[in-house]
Amino acid sequence: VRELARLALAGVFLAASLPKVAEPAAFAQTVANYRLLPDAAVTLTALALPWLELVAGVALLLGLFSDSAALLLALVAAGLAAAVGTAQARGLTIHCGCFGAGGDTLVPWPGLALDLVLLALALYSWRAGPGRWSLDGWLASIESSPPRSSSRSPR
Amino acid sequence: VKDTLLGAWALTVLALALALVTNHVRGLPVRPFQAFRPQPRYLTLAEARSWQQSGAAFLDLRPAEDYRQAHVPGALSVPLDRLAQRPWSNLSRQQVLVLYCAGRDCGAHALAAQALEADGYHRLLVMPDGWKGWSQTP
Repeated sequence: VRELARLALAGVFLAASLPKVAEPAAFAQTVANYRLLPDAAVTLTALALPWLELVAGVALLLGLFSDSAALLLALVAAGLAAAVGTAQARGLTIHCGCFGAGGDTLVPWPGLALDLVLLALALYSWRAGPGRWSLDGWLASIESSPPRSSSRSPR
Repeated sequence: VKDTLLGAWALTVLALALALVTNHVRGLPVRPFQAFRPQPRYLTLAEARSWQQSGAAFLDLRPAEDYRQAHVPGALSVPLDRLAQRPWSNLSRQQVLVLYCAGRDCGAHALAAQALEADGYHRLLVMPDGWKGWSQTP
């Protein structure tokens, strides 16, 4: 189950990050539309956030630094949930931008529900660990296996 | 927990470095350490009329001859060959400016917007239907 949660989380964030990595200027407009950040912080956020999703998504897919990647994605999902939730509370009619610029106009509950599910998945992945089928698991198994005895006997 | 936080920090630094390097290599028009400047927003004719009533300044980007024949009431003539003379210099930088030219086939907005932004005018709107749309709509 934990492998499935990890891979699902990685897949969603990879799919979400690629269009935003490709079109950072359009994503900057999306970030600005939420009116949560000062103009001075919008561009850097729009540039860095998709790459954070991408790097953490790849790490989670490989199962390398899985705990760290899951923690980062939990923070990202919490931030997105807060952004979408407050946008609705403030009555903003804007595009979600969850999977890149454009798309449908922000829909309150599906968008918020998706972010909360992602948050739950990320927290679960963080607490449950990467599982056996991961680079972290493989490295741990190497470290925990007993050292082979040398075939040569000391003279 | 310490290892997790350290790994999260390392992934964040890696992501930031990749973002900055790829942005630089691709030559994208995103300047990470400059304040965000929204693109000029396009208006419908109804919105443009509403902005006119609200006191927005209209800039007519058509040739001066066309402007002399007819223009949006109160509009300032800014033909493209006079961009360098900055004919808008008396306007406040807080003023909302609505740019228009002949019609939808005219591409003067981008050039004018660039020059205006360089001068510190950031409250730019575009009426893409131009004079043609304005004059044909009651």
